[in-house]
Amino acid sequence: MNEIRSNAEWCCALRAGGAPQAAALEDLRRYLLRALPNALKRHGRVPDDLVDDVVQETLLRVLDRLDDFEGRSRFTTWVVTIAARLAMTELRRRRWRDVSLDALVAEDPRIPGDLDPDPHAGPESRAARVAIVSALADAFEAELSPRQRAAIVSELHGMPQEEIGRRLGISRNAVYKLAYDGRKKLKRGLEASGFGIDDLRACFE
Amino acid sequence: MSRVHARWEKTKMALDRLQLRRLLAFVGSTREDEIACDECLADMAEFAEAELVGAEIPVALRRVEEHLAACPECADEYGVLMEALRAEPDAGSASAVEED
Repeated sequence: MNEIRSNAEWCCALRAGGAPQAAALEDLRRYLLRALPNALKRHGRVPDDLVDDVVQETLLRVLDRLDDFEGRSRFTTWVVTIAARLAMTELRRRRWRDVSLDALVAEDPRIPGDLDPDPHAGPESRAARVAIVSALADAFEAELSPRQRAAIVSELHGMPQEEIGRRLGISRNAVYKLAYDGRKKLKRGLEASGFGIDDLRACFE
Repeated sequence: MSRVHARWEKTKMALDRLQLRRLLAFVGSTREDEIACDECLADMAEFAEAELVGAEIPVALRRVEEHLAACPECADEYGVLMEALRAEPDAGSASAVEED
């Protein structure tokens, strides 16, 4: 990074076009190429081509979404949020591209209503645990749409939301909302059966 | 249907105990006003800078914290962001606060 720019200077240079824009983009590119590989280390080996592609795509998105930057953080922090999402999305896509949703989740997944999720917790609370699971299984089957069931079960199997979305034809944001609406329905279903948060905590924490 | 196939079908339909416990934990921690990933991303930079300097998290940003606890994808991306910020906190940018 050649100089410290204010947020306004970053935005001004990137909007200016020509040499000021090229210089600002080059500074961002160098910063991201330096920062990303280290920041991604904990996620295993990251191919160089992935970093290069992510940096390039980040710069394009920054130019495209400059008006979205509200100045509530440093400009470069905002840029890294974009790069981090792109990088992790691509890493997850590469890791999951060969796993099909069909292989992971049945067409109509169900919860085994008689499964005791914590048999070591003691027999005295077993009846309560099984009653809660039974109510959860009933709500899962009666209240949730097939897509909500698929999204929730896929998440529980560890499938990333982008991949679930790719298979369901919706965005990652929509997958989160789909599963979230499902969780709310399950919570209300448990409450309707007389089980509140305190009951869940008492049985499973 | 072969026995192996039947067993596989059963496995696919069922959740194991660990997954069932996770589902119960998810359901138990579900709030009525959760934000989704895009809203979390829009506020993530501001939240990260507040956390980096140990500032009190403003009420408006607490939903980011709650979302990060519920969404492993956003939590991973937040981890990448924090690693980058810790390595190079200013990164050629004056802070938004300094500009006010």
